[in-house]
Amino acid sequence: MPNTDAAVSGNKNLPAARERTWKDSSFGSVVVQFARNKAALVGIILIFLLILMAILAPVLAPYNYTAIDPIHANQGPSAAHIFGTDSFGRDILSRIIFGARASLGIGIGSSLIGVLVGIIFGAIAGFFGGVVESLILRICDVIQSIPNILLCILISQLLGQGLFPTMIALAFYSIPEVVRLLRSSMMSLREQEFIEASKAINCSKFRILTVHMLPNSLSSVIVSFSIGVGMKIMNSAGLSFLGLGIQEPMAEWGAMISAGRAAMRNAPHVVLIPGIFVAVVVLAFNIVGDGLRDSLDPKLRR
Amino acid sequence: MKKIFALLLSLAMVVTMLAACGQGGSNAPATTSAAADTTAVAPADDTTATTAEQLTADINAETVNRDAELTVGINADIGSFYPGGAGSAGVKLKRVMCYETLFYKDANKELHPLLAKSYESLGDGKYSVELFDYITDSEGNHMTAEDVIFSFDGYKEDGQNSSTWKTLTDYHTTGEYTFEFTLDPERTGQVEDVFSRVPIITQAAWESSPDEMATYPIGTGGYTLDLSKSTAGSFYVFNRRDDYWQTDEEYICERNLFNIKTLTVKVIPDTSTLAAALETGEIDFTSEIDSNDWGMFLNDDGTAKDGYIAMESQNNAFVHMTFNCGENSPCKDINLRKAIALCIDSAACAYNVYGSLGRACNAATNPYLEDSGLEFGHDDYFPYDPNLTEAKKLVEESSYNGEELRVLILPRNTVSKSFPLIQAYCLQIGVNLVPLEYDMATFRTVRVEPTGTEYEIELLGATSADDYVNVSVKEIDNKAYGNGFGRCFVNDDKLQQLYEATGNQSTNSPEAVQELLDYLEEQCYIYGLYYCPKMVIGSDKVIGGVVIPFDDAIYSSFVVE
Amino acid sequence: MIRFVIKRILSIIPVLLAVAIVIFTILYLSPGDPIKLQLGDNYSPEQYQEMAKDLGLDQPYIVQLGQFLYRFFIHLDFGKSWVMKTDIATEIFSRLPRTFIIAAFCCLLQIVVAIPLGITAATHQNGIVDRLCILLAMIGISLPGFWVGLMFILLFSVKLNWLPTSGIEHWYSYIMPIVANALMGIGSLTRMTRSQMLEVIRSDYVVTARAKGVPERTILYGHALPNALIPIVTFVGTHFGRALGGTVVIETVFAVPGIGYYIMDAVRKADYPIVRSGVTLLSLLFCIVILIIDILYAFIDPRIKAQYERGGTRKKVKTSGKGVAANA
Repeated sequence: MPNTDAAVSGNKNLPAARERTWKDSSFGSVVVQFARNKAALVGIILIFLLILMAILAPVLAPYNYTAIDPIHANQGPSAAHIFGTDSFGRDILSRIIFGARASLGIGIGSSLIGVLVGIIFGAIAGFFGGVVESLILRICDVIQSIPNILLCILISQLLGQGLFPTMIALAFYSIPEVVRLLRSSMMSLREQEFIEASKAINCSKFRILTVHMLPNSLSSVIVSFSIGVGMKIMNSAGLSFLGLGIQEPMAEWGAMISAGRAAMRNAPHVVLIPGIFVAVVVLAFNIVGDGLRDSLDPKLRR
Repeated sequence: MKKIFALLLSLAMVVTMLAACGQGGSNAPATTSAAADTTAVAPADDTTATTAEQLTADINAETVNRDAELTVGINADIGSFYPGGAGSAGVKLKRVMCYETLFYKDANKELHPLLAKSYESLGDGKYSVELFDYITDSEGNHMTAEDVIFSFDGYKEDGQNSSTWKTLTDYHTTGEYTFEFTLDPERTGQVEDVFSRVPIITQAAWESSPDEMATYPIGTGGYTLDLSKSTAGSFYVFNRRDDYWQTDEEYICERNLFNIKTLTVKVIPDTSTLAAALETGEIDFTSEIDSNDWGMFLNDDGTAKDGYIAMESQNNAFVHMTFNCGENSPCKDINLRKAIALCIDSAACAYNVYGSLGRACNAATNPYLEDSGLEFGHDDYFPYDPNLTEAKKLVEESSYNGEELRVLILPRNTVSKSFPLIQAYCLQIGVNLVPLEYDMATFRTVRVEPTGTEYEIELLGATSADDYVNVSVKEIDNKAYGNGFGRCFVNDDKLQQLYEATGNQSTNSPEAVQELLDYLEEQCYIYGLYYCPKMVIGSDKVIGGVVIPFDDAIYSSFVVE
Repeated sequence: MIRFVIKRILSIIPVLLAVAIVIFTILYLSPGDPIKLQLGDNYSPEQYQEMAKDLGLDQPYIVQLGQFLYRFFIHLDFGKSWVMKTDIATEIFSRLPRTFIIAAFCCLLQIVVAIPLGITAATHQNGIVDRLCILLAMIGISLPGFWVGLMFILLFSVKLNWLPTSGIEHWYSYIMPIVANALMGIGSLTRMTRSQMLEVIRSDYVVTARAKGVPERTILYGHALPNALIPIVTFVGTHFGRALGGTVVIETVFAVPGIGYYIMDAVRKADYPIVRSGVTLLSLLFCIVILIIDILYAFIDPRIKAQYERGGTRKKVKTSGKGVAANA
């Protein structure tokens, strides 16, 4: 491109305008900033690896994760079983690998449900204001004032045990949080000039909402989502401990921890190993969430 | 922004889908061939004798330490001190401590006078009982035969322990301290139930309590609750009372020999914490140690490790399967039932759940029941020893077409833990089992569903203190559930006939029982899996004491050095 | 100002009513039958009817709901337990202090540990200390409560014999439950403090103060910290409010007879009156805590205070983080 700036301003010392690359888009600059945060990079690689492990589970697992072998129960790590066996003699490594599906599924799935429902209601509340907003906020108050674990217990009671009921029970509590986040973003955006401008050119309300406002309010939601995943996996372990949520024989890390607790004195590896994996996943998501927050916040970008 | 969002969304959808698919596989577990060899793992010990240490001290001796204190741990709160109620350990404790029944039934099933001095059988299920005339409860109220009638009325009304009351008709006083009652028809073992399982309280005590004795018990027993030292839901302190009414030495038996001065009961809901508490000595005794933690206190053969003693308490925690033989269930085909019974290795299940103390019972009833006529170690009594080839043959002969059989599982750890094994065994012969795991409230509701369409097999562990065959298999009684079919949803007149023959005290006999059991085994309506005695474990500072089969330890009789 | 407070107090009532109705409905729709659970297996239809009448379960939904709401809100009668016939109010109020102790000291511990940690992490951002603090915080978040609890028992009770395993007999029985419960909160509070401090440190007035030559220490403790504290206060407050009902797992492991375990046990036994009254009460406490925070908020933050004094429609000030108080 010719040196147009010089031509316009008459100043020969201005630097040449460079090509606009993908890194200059809003998405791109986020990625660049994110990539500078080494911890967050590690986090996202970990998550990616875990998801890969979940997808490739049938290929990776050395044994059938439900293969029972009562004679060799509660054995420590050995050549045949790298992570040892659990109280039914099942290979722990295989159960960890397959367990990634349920654990990540619950964590990501329930967070996603919470976020999606929250976004819808938060957007409605923030955009329309008035009575609608008040009503939605009151409902959020109701959900938030019921203690988390008790709400999970009650919903589990209602819906039963299993993967999907547990996901819904866990998702419930995070909906109000997302609603509030989105609503406050919406409110501050409402006043901004580019929205005024959109209204001035007769943009339809729906379009303003989805095209202009939503994308800009999502940053805090994304962070909340990422951190929420870890919380959900932990809460799921807690529910299993209390006898609700996921139970054996389903392979899920939280359920493995709570089921293995009984034999913990003799065979600590049955609890430690899934515990480490849960910790790693929670850590990874938290670090990524932090990284996202740092890179999405314009003030922190240097 | 949009792209990140889209990426996350699609990733999440993929993962969720996978998670859902992944779990579909869990319904079809495989066994390694090692499972077939697990009979080698079952306990070599084939005696029925108690494997626990015998306590040596004589609880009646003069030298007994009468100032001893004991702390007992329980897994679930006592809750209310109302004398009725179903039998968790805490409930049994409160009954032993604070209340008394008419008679005391000891380990040999002999009746000793407790509140009642004597009884007379007048024939045709009619009994006459004479009370002591100097009974006072802890508030000083005097007890008469009227109070017995009052107690009976109360229990009948509140609907608990209803099997006891079903046929108890016509009870009335015949004097100030005598009364009569009629059992019509009399069930086997029912009179012992009435005599030894119904706590009697005075009407005055009941009326003086503002909350139906929920927070403070007033009974004739040897201990009172010390409210000032107790914290509801956490621990309770019982003090021996000095004014216990029975002063005649002749009538003091192990039940009202109150050796312990103060008994503290601690409520610890978590089993690991309970085991830790026993280890540190915070509790002296408990009967609720989870079988996983037995290794900390017991050796493999059931004897206790150093520093501890263990007593075996027989109970009816007999895990068994009942088959839904109704119209809609594939299990109505006897070949299928037998096939399932033959393919399951109960010894392996027993070992898996209880370790080496678990015992297989491949037969229709709990072998520890006095009238079961069964003894461990006698091969003739195990018609359903695992036999894979025979099982496969039977499946082929049956009309089973690979349908899913839903198994309703009692939500108790010791029962549900064996399900994956059972599932694996059945898969070896091509039978597909699917678990239905509900919480207790839903379980209770579903299992009495009269239409018989909710499940095909039920996996249960009876826990009531039933110690006669006919009582423990009462679920087959077609009058039991108001649906005309009984637990097995089967319209089998012969079964009903045999059941009633054993059920009635006048027609009950070892032969009748044998006939019923033989028929049950032949038809395979019920298949018994495994059983384990309850282990009462504690510190070895206790050197004597009594444990009642099908009940709990009588902690008040313990001798502490 | 007073108007605001009164308005907020009044707004709690519809929330409570809604909570009561929601809980009642969830229990009503739950599949288990409480009568069958109590009667066991052998009962006659008459006994079933009898118990149904006793417990008021033979009425239609609306009537039952109405009775419950009437008794609870007008008479403040919590009812009697179905299973144990004990008076629920006495039970709840004797158990509440224990949960309260755990929740309160838990929050205290978190504040004392996490805030200095967070400040240190923020002021030495990306240094070793920062990384270490974050790591410790993360570990706290990643360990399940029941696992930590059992570890504590095994270490401090069984191995070292320093503390009792469970129960509440002595004041030091509370130490392990409090610390175990606090661990997770310390993690998230540290991160929250850190990010709040970071945000404030970069704000205009701090930059200006630095430019003016104000000493770093004054900036930190005089300007940055007070401003960062506001959302932190909110966070701790809501955390405390939630902790009142959220200690179920810790109470189970350490055998603390608190309100969390009481309610959960009641759910298991289908003892609905306990669940209804208990959860509604906890919601009330939570709303009160939020109210107090809101009022504190208004007093501490001069910007908000000014808004109230001006009167008129209140614009919500944008604050970051979760758990922000509800609006009037």
